This record gives sequence, C-alpha cells and structure tokens, in this order.
Amino acid sequence: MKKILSLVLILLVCTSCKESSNQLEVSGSTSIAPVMEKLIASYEKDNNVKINLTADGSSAGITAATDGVSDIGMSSRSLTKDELKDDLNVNIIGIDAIVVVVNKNNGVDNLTIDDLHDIYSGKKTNWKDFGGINRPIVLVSRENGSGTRDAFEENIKVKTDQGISLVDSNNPVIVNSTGAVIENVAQKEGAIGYMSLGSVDDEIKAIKLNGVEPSEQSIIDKKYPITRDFYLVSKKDNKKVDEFISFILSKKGQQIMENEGFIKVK
Amino acid sequence: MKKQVFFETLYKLSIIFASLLLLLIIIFIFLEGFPALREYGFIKMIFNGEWQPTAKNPSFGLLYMILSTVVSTILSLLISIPIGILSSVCLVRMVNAKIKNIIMFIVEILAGIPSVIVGFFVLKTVVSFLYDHFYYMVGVSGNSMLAAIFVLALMSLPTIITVCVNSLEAVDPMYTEASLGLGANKIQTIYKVELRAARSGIFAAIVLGAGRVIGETMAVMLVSGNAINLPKNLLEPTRTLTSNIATEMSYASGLHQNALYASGIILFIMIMIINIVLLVLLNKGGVDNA
Repeated sequence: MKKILSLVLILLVCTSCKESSNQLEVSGSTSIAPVMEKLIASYEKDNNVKINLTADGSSAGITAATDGVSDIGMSSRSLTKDELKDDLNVNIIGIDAIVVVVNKNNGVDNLTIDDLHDIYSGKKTNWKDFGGINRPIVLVSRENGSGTRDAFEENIKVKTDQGISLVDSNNPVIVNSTGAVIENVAQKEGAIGYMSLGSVDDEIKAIKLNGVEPSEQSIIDKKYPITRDFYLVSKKDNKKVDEFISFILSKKGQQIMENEGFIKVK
Repeated sequence: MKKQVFFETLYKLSIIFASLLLLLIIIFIFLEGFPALREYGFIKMIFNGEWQPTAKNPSFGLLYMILSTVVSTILSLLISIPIGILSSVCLVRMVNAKIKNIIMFIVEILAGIPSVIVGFFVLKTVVSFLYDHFYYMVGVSGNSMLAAIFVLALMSLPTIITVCVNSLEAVDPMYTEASLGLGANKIQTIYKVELRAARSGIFAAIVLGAGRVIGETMAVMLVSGNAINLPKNLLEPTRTLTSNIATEMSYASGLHQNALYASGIILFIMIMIINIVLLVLLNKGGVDNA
C-alpha cells in the first residue's frame, strides 16, 4: 500500500514538472504585471501557448531573463551597462507616467518638481506654502524596492548620489501597494502620494506638474516631467518569444496597453 | 496487532514531521539571512539605525526597528496586563459561573479574530481619530506608534485573561479559606494571598502575551505607518521588525532580501529569549506549588 502510494506521488510530481514546449515564463516588474496579465489573456485566446506570469520586481526580472530562468523579463527601469548583454533583446512596450495625487479637498492643483523635492525631503511641511490650506503635509511613500518609488525619487531628486533616500526621516506613511496609497490620500486631507497614471481613480485628485496636466498628449509630447519606459528583456532568436512581443507591439496589444492607462509606443 | 504497529508508526511520523518542520524553518531563515549578516555584520546591524537597502552602499541597520518592537511591546503590555489581571480576578471571584462562562466565551472569540481584521478596525477608528484631532502637528498622519500599541494591547488581552483565569482557578482553596478564616476580607484575600499564589501563572500569561505581541505583523503594518525612525512621540509613525519583513518582502531581491531574513533571525532570537524565560518561570512555578 505504502509503495503504491509513493509511486503515485512520484508520478504526480513528475508529470507536473514536465516542461511543456508551449510554455513561456514572464517575470519582473510589478508595475508592468497588471497590464501584462491582460496582454497574456488576450494572446492565449488566439494562440496555443501557456504563459506564466510572476511579479517579482524589475531587477529580478532582468536577472531571470539573462540567466534563462524566464523567457521574458519585465523592467520598469532602463538596464544598467552591466545588465545590457549582447545576447539580449530589449523592447520598449509602453510608457508610464508617475502622477502626484492629493486629497480632493486640497485646493492645491499644481506643483513644480522643486516643490516636490522640498515636500518629500521635509524642507516644507505645510500646504499654505503652496497656496493651500494651513495644514501640515502628510507624506505617503511606497516601500524600499518599489520601482515606482525609485523612479519618483530619482525624478524629484530626493535621493543622494549614493542612492540614499531622504524621505524616510520625515515621518512618511510607508505602504506597499497602490491601493493603500489611494486609501491614505483619500482619507487624510493633508496627504500627498504618487502612483502610475493607470491607477488613478476618482477618490483622489491628480495634480499638474510644472503646470502640465498628466495626459496622453502631454506624455507623448514629452512635456509631462515624470515618465518611465516599460521594457521587455529577452534572449535573442527565440521565435515564440518574438511572436509574443510583436503581438504586444501590434495594434491590438498597444490598444490593451492604452486601456490600462499607459501610453502606447507604436 | 498489525493495526497497532501501523498507528504507532503514524504517531511517530507525525512527531518527526512536526519537529522536522521547525528545524527546516530555522535552517531556512538562517541560510537566507546569513549572507546579509556576513556582508554587513551582526553587531552593526543591531546597533545601527540606518536602513537604506537600495542605496549603492546599502545599509541594513535594524536598531530603530528593534527599539520600536521592544517599546511597543512593553507599552502595549502596560495596558493589557492590568486590564487582564483585574478582569480575571473579577471573573474568578466576583461574578457567578453563568456570567463568567459567557464572558470567557467572548474572550475566546476575541482571541480568534484574525489580526488583519483587528488591524482594519483600528485603522478605521483609532487612526482616523488621531488624524482628525492631531492633524495640525507636523509628522502626524494617524498611522502611529500609539495606534500600533493599541492594536497590540487588544491582541494580547485575550491571551492574558485566559491564562490568568486558569492560574487563579488553580489556587488551592485552602489558602483562600485560611486567609478568610484569619479575618482578612475578600479584597485582601485576593491581593495578598490568591494573586501571590498564582503569580507564576500570571508571569506566564505576561510572557505569552509578549510573545503574541512581538510576532504580530499584519495588524501592526496596517496602522503603524512603517516609517523607519525613532519616534519622538507616540503620534509619529514607526516600524517593527515583523512589519519590516512584510512591507518590503514583495520587491526585495539579493542582499536586501537576505537582510529581511536577517530581521527574521533577530526576531527569532527575541522570541527564543521570551520562551526561555517562560520555561524558567513555569519550572519555578512547579516548585512553588509543591
């Protein structure tokens, strides 16, 4: 009885780990993962492939694609010189803007990048400095390792040359999801936060930066100041991977990108 | 006969499985955390407060988080211990059996409420209250050390009450009768005799409560604000060791991830110390009763 049971178990394990030739592994940036999920669903409908998606951060995605653990790595930051190997294909599949959001009752609707620097580095702590009500500013920040936080802090220069963030010492509320940023900003009148353009909803108010409204046009025109590109990293000469990437860059794929609130590149 | 052998093996396998699991977890945490300890140094990690895991020269100082874990544990216990002891005295000596059973039932339900729900409740009540009343102070967002302490006190209370009630009930009635017989009144008997006789059980309740508080994660993460600093007052946000792991685990890679496991190691050491204290107390309790 015991032997039969263990045989069955071994068989089960073996079948589940057997590599199907029609599988692709995609992993990386959590900012790209939601739209990638939609792209995969649409692609799987028309093609006989199974695509597995793991959201584990840009760095992990690039490493996985380089080492061949994943077929495609997603990255919401550009690759460093060390990461850029000869046998890698790097494609830009969309553009994201990081939008600064405040509470709906906040009268302020425009800030400059310098203002953001002063706010997040703790130099200015009250909304009245920016023409708003007399109320201290509550900083809402993402956690260490978040691609959105990296991109935002680099853009508003609250990171030293050594990559040390100046935000942590100013009593921010640190949360680890966009949903929690929305929640905090919607609840607290003095709060300020940031997120991907695609995640903004009507519970909060997206403000202008340097006088530019975050919109498709302003991002395409490169007027909106805080944007980042979404990259896919893959090994060269893999037909199935290339087919999937050309689907993403096709009209249909780019339409999905746009529906999720990102800016298309083609 | 064969059946007996089968079941005996089953029992033995279960115990081996259970202890192996613990061993595996320990080995896993230490293996994963070790690279960070080696790169950054254990002493530096404990005595440095700077946590900049994504900097070019990353620093993994856990001092502020260790301190805030210790301080929030102590302060929350300062709330839950008196309430816990007084209510267990009340339950054991001052109300009838029917009411006691109803209240114990409620306490047990309270103990079983998932921590994320307690956290959400405190987020919607205490955190909102704090922000609405103290918003004019710079650095106050409602998410704070105070809210965390409140959550932790709420979560350790059921444990403390249950263990205290059990130990008070286990006090030999001879003590009570002798005390009353000597002319002491009820309150004197409770405080001078019964609570003293039950003291090892009460210590155990406190230590168990402390263990529950130190390990609490989800609820604390929701309400504490998670800022890495040394709060100047209780209204400022703070981050404990557990919420450090939970907040950053999803995007961490490389040495950053190892450092999170290393905070797990330090947490593990703290809990081991608490358990050793518990063991010593319980053994001492055995001698007391003999």
